[in-house]
Amino acid sequence: MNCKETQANFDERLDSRLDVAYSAAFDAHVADCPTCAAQWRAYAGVWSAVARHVATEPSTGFAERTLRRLDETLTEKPRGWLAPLWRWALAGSLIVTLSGAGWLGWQRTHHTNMQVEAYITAQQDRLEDFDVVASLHLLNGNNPHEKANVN
Amino acid sequence: MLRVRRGDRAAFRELVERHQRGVIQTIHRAIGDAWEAEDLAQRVFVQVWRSAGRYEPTAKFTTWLFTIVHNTILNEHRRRARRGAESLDALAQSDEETETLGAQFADAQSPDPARAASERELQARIGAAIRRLPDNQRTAVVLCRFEGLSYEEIAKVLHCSVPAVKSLLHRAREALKEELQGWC
Repeated sequence: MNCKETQANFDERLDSRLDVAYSAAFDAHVADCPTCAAQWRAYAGVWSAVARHVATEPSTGFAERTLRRLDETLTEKPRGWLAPLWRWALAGSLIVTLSGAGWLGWQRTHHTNMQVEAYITAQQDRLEDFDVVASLHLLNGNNPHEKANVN
Repeated sequence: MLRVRRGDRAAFRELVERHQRGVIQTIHRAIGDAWEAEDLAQRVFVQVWRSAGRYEPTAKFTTWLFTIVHNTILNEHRRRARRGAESLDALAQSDEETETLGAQFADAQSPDPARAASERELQARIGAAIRRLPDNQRTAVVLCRFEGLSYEEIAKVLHCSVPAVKSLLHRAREALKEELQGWC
């Protein structure tokens, strides 16, 4: 086993995931290689130190208190689908108010649009009328620019 | 656990007594506060009772249990972040100081107070270093080192692959090596 292989297997060696033969090869290399030995010592040393960490122990009566807490949780009044009712009433009234406001707004906009359309239509009609009037003289042959050529 | 599924409270109590230490200590190593760790541990067991119907005997119970523990810890961290609490670094630091200061009184009664003080300080530093790890790395370290779960079991708890667990452990060990330089 070379240095690269050895260092790539630090975690497996630490967690005893290498088979017997591979572990032996790992240990042999570490024994012979000062660089890998130093790195292994640092890596394994931290892991040993971490194992020394002491966490809190369960306090007396923890299981009892947990069962009591479970009982309290189970005896809580379940919230029904309709509870609390006031929230549904508020939501409903908001929906109705917003819908009404939206309908009124649409009505106003629609009415305004209709007025604008009517005005535009009237303008277009007037323009067309003007065009008709303006070109009538052409139908009668009364082109003021052609007066000289009447006879 | 099958008896718990059928609503057997005596079985549930037995289950709590058997696993309370592992659950409380895993949570304590994540959040640093012993009282809160017990409170959260109670919530975990209540959740176990409520979710018993969803437990499949094909899965190992400890894997299932520590999945609930891991998710509870994540929720607690998110809850603290939402409250705009101090950063986890600051919390870890304050816990470290509390552990060190609180131990000074006990050191005076020790036959070798200097050594005891040094050990206490190391304990506080290790605890803070573990708490400062990212959530998944910390869970991998705690479950591997203290609860004896295999890479495969940790992968199920964290919903990741076995190579991903190896990577998490490697990065966590490198980070701990940096943090505890000079102390081990």
